[in-house]
Amino acid sequence: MAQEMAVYEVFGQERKGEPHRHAGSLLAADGEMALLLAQELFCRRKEYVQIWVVPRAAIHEATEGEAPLGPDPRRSYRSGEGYRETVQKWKRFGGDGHADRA
Amino acid sequence: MSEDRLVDFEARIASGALIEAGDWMPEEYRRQCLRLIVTHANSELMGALPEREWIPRAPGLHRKLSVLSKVQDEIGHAQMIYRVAEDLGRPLGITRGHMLDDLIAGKAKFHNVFSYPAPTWADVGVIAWLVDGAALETQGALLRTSYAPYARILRRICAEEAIHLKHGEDIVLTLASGTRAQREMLQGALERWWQPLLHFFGPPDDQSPNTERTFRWRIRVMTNEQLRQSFLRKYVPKIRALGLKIPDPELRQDPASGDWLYGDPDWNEFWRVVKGGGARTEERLQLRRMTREQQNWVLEAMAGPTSAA
Repeated sequence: MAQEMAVYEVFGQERKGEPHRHAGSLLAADGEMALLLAQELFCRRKEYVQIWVVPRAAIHEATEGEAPLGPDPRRSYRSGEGYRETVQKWKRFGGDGHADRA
Repeated sequence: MSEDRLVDFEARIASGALIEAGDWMPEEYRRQCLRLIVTHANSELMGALPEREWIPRAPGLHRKLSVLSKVQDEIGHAQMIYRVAEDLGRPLGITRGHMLDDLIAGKAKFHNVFSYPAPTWADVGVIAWLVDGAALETQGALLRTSYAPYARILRRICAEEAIHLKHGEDIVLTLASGTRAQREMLQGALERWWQPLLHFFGPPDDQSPNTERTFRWRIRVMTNEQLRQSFLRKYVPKIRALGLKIPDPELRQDPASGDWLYGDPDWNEFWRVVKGGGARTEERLQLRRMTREQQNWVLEAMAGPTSAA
């Protein structure tokens, strides 16, 4: 019966060079069947150049809200946002700090 | 304390947070989402049937392929939505098997429109244009639901429904620019479908069983009447532009609000149909029962010895 089948998560790559993204899930008895069903369910319009199917049981999920997940405004030095003042600082030297864009 | 959890949950919803399958949620939120999502899945599964009847009779290979593809899409949508429902139902002990059992036993709801016959090819066009157009109104609004797994799968489903709408529009435009007999067939189909289309969005807001919580929890974001008005604003002018007559002498637009005022679409008929009394309800459920029984061996074979891993 269907209840005895396992949940598989489906990931698809839209173009070569792009990452695989989660597409959805399905029930299958094994990986081969999951791949076949994934093509039927998620690829009818040639949405992907490549797909992965992964048994959900193989995915380990971190607990939401626990460090190091989520935004952390105290660690601005880890992001470009933390260095916005460079634009002002460049002005002392006659530059606008965006010379690389010109 | 579960009271604290509820307060926290409601604060998260109010701040625009989305709920994932593994997040804590009040049981009532789970049940309301499940009811909505299972009804949608049932509707996709049953919705394939009126058009399926036309696959052998479609006029020409191109139309046959496009009806076939639409039917395949609807069944695919059902598969994807039942999957979302299964994850929601698991903590309640509700499986896909239970959902399908309830459906074929006539105990589960599905959209009223799938209980009516599609006697002509024009009905196929009107279904794909206007029924899918109506479905896109409700599903488009549900893209903003707070239950994230449903919203994600709806993005894919809405994209495909938009293609169905074009397929229907193309059939309708062809018939509307065809012979007199074709235009009359189209008019007849519109007359059959107009009332079910008004019913599709559900009873007026003051008679709707949806609770205030459904909206506070953002399970739904638009009321039945808001959705119906959005549909009427888009489609009444298009239907009239085709030279068709909408079978409602009271239909008129309120110049101040832009809302369409319509004659009473007989809500008793709506309740009769959603409770299982539609013209084709029993026949189509019987078909589902038969396929469930006849194809069970496939499921059993698939979940056979290889599934032990």
